[in-house]
Formats: sequence, structure tokens, C-alpha cells
Amino acid sequence: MRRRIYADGLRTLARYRLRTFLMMLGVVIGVTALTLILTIAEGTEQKVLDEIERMFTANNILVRAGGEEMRAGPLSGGPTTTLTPADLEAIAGEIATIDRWDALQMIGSRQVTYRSAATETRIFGQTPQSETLGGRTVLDGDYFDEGHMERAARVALIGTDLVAELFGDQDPIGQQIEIGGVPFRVLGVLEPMGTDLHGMNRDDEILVPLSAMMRRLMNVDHVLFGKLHVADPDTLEATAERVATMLRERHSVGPNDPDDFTLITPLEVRRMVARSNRVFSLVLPLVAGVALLIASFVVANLMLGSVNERARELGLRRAVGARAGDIVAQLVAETLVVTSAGGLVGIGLGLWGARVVEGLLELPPVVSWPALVIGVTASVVVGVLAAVAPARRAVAVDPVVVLR
Amino acid sequence: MIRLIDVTKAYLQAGATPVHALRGVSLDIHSGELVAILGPSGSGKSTLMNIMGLLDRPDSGRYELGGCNVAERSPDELAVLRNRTIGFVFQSFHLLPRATAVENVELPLIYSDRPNIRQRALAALERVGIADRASHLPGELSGGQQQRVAIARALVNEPAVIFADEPTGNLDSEAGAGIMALLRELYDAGRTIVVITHDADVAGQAGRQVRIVDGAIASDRSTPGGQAPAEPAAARTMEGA
Repeated sequence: MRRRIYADGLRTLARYRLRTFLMMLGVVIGVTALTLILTIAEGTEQKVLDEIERMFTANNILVRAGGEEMRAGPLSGGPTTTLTPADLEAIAGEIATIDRWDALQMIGSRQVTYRSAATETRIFGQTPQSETLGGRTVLDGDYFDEGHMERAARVALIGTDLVAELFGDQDPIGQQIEIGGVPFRVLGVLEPMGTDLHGMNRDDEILVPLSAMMRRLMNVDHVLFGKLHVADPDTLEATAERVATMLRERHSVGPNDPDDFTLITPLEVRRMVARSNRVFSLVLPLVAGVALLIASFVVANLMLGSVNERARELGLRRAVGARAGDIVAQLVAETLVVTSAGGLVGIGLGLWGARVVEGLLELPPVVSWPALVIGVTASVVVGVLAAVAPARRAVAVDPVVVLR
Repeated sequence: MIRLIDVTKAYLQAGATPVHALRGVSLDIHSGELVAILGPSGSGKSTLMNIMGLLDRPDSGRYELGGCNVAERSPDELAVLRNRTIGFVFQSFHLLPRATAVENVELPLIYSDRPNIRQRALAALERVGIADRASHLPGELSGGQQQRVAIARALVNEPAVIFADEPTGNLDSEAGAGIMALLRELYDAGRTIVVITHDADVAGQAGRQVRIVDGAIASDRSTPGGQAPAEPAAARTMEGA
């Protein structure tokens, strides 16, 4: 008997195609927006996590020159010049749990030329350990080694975009370029990496041995960052404390003075990620809720209008024997079918749209399962919610009044 | 079949004195009768039909349908009772405009547990003589045809009684005569039919006429032209038994 009522509800939907279409459209728009936003958010988050994973494996302690109060960092304020490769070497030699280290110095922009081709680009100086510690190696040619490091050899690894810009189709390996007027030999081409979290194109940069960077390009004896690799991640936090103690000693920081360095451990990074995730987890349900609310209003309104328009039909159904529950069942079935179908279409459109946006923003293509679950749930919830008010009104229809 | 004992019904109007639509109506209608309830507009005959049709409840008095007191029934039980025992025919047909004739006739069956609803609906259309219009929309049918669809809908659940409220009111005289002939045919086949009308000619075709004036029964008589109610009805009951 209920099956007949549901079937009749479907026929009613078919009889009022325009209204059915508009109702569905409301849900489609709501769920599409929902799926799109959630999927892109998840893609963004995934990208952040990937990047963080790459930068901070569970084994690394990052040492940044400058104290906590200099959050903006040495790149914007005056540079802190106290962190040196010697510090890192000494620490790695003293603390047994640290097996490898790397350090980084950087020039934001400098002219690079090859024959008549010239451009401005970013230069990094790092140790040979960066190949394993940084997770980025060369596509072609060779990475620089300890020998290059000791000699402060003028060799360079260059990004793929820079290769295209300076060399075109030519093979860059072994060619001589000039960085700020200093000749360097191209040793290798860096693996493509795309755009990073700071919006920097990591394929438009040059990596040289740290020693060459410091002596030949900058003439400094300090670095911006150090990276200490701990063999056993379990000892990392304890190691970080010893590193702090050693650095304070080496930099003669008084007992009441603030540190002139900042240690960033995976634990702290995870805290940072959790903080930014909190933004996601607060804003996204809000957005989802708003989309759901709008869809509910649209569907409920159309359904209410439908009930008013169909007062006679509903009164007639009561007169010929429909119980209150039968009327409610029919209306709920009608809205559920419309909203579920709309929800599925919305999810499809949303995922497709998200793919397009992910392509444009170079985000990893993710399928946001929460988005799918929320989308399906939302459309069902919308269907039930949107049926409540109309159903109440429908049940209140008095056949005596409408069938006069 | 139908027994009303001293039934009253008043409607409250905002700020005005209550309208006493029925003032103590007592009426017996037997199985197999064709009864016309006759009266001018405002006499309370529609209220009477609504109460007899279980669409409304009396304020006081007793209403027994098929031997049971309906005052004790819940709204859902009344709905089931309407579905099984009552068929309605309205002055303005009240067909679903976007549903075909056969779908309209199926409507009461949707709320029943009878099998083969499509065949039953088609059979009912056949019975009222418009099986060939089964897949037409009401708008594509004449008034007389629409009322036939409505009668088929009233018939389809094989109810104990059919209430027809001004069934010819929206029809021209020819179509109206056809509808009355159809109701007579159904009566001849043993149906209980109550026709509510203000038209003395229509009422004259019924074997029994109950005249309502100002919410009370003014007269109740069987016309010589119509069939005498008690005797044939009793005969039919005995045949059926």
C-alpha cells in the first residue's frame, strides 16, 4: 500500500515537471557549492600537508636564525648573523643522536645570464646533504658533492623553468652561466616541484653549494636555517633541548636573554597544522550549513507553494481515504526523491568543478569523502526538513473546506 | 445502513452568533435505497452530507454507519472507513487535472489494499461507459464525461454508499439527465445512493425524498413515481443473503 503511495508521489513529480525541476535545481546548486568548496579545501589542505611532510619529516629539527619575537624573520627584518655552519657542525659532532645536517642561505633575487639571455632569479645555497634531507634531487646531471662543498666550487643546479628560459631546447649540463657576474657551471637540472606554499615557483631557482654561496656570492659567514637530522624520531624532542642549550652557550646568550634562534620540531609543526586545520574545521561546516539552509529554504518554499496549490488534491485524497500518515509519506517521498537526485547531480557537478579548479590551482586531485558523505546526507536531510512544514500544512487541509 | 439520531451541528463565525446548520436531525437510510436530500442552499443539506460522509463530526447526537458508532473512531480510522465504505461525487467533479481519467479512478485504490488497481479502475470506467477515454486528461473531457470519471472513482472501491452532492449542478440538462440515469442504473444494480440537491426534478427521480429546511427535516416521503424504498431493498437484501 505504501509502495503505491510512493509510486503516486513519483507520478505527481512527473505531472508538475517545472516545479520538480526548480526544486531539484535548488538542491543541485547547494550541493554543488558544498562539494566544490569541501573538495578544494581538502585539496589545499592535502597540498599543505604534502609540503610539510616534505619539509619536516619526523626526523628533522629546523633551526632558524633569530628568536621567537622575530616571527617575520630574517628575510624581512635585519638579519640575525649569529647562526653559522660551524654551530651546526659542532652540534652534530657533539650530540650523538644527530647523524646528518644541512644549512641554507638564500638570495631573494639576482641576475643570471647565459650568453645573451638574462633573467632575475632566486638563489639557494645548501650542503650536499640537502639532496636526501630536502627530498629533492636532480632530473638530469649530478647533484653537487662534498668535494664541491670543500672547494666552494662554482657549480649550480637549476630549475626546469629557468632551463627553458635561458637555454630553450639546448642541453644546459656543463654550460657556463653567470650569477651576479660570477661564472658557474651547470651541474644538473633540479626535479620539477611546481609552486610551493608561499606561492613561489620552485622551478625558477638555482641551488649552489652553501660554501660557494657564502664565499663567492654573498661574502657572509652565517646562514638563515639549519636542519638537523635525528636518526631516531623518539629522541627528537630531547635532542632539540640539547641543541637549544648548546646554541645558547655557543652564542653566549645570557640566562635572562631571549634566544637568538628558533627551533622548529615536527611536534610544533603539527601544532601549527592543527591550528590551521581548526580554521578549516570551523569555516567549512559553516559554509556547508549555509548551503544546506539555502537549499532547504528553496525546496521547502516550493513544496509549501505546491501544497497550497494542491490543497484540493490533498483534500480529495483525504476524502477518498488517505490517512494523515499517507499524506506525509507521499510528500516526504516526493521531496526525498527530488533532493536525493539533486544531491547526486550536485556531487557530480561539484567534483567535476573541483577537478577544473584543482587543475588551475595546481592542487593534488583529491576526492573529498567527507564532501560526498555530507553532500548525500545534506540532500536527504534537506528533503526531510523541507517536507516537514508542507506536510504539516497538508495534513491540516480540511476536505470539507477545499471540496466545497 | 445509515442511522442519525438527533444530530446537531453548529458553525462558529468570528464575532457573530453561531450558525446552527443542523438542529436535531434523525434519519434512517437503508441498504439499497436511492434517497434525495432536498433543500434550498443554506438549509444544512451539505453539512448533513459531510457528517454522513465522515468528513465532519456532529456536535451532538449519534451517527451509526453500518451498525457502528463513528463518534468513537479516530481520524485515521475514519479515513479507512471512508475509503472502504463511502464514495463521493462532487458538483465540480474534483478530478486531478494533470492525471488521466484512469489515474483519477485509481486514487481511492491507492489507499486500499486491493490488488490489480489498474484493471479495477478500467472496469469502473467501463461500468460508467467511458472506457475509451481512460488515458485522457480531465481537461480533454466534457463535463458529463468528467462526472462519469468521478462516479467511476466513487464506485471503484465498491463502497456501501455513494454520496452525490449536486452531481448535475455543473452540467447541462442533457448531460445531467445522463448522470441521473447512470445513478439510477447503479441503484437498480443494488447500490445505496444519497443524492444531495436543491433541484426538485433531480430529487423526483429518487424513490425517497428527504426535505431539509433550516437544519431540520421538514418532510420525508417516498414518491409513487419512484421505487418504494423499503420493500425492494428488503427483497434485495434477502436475495443477497
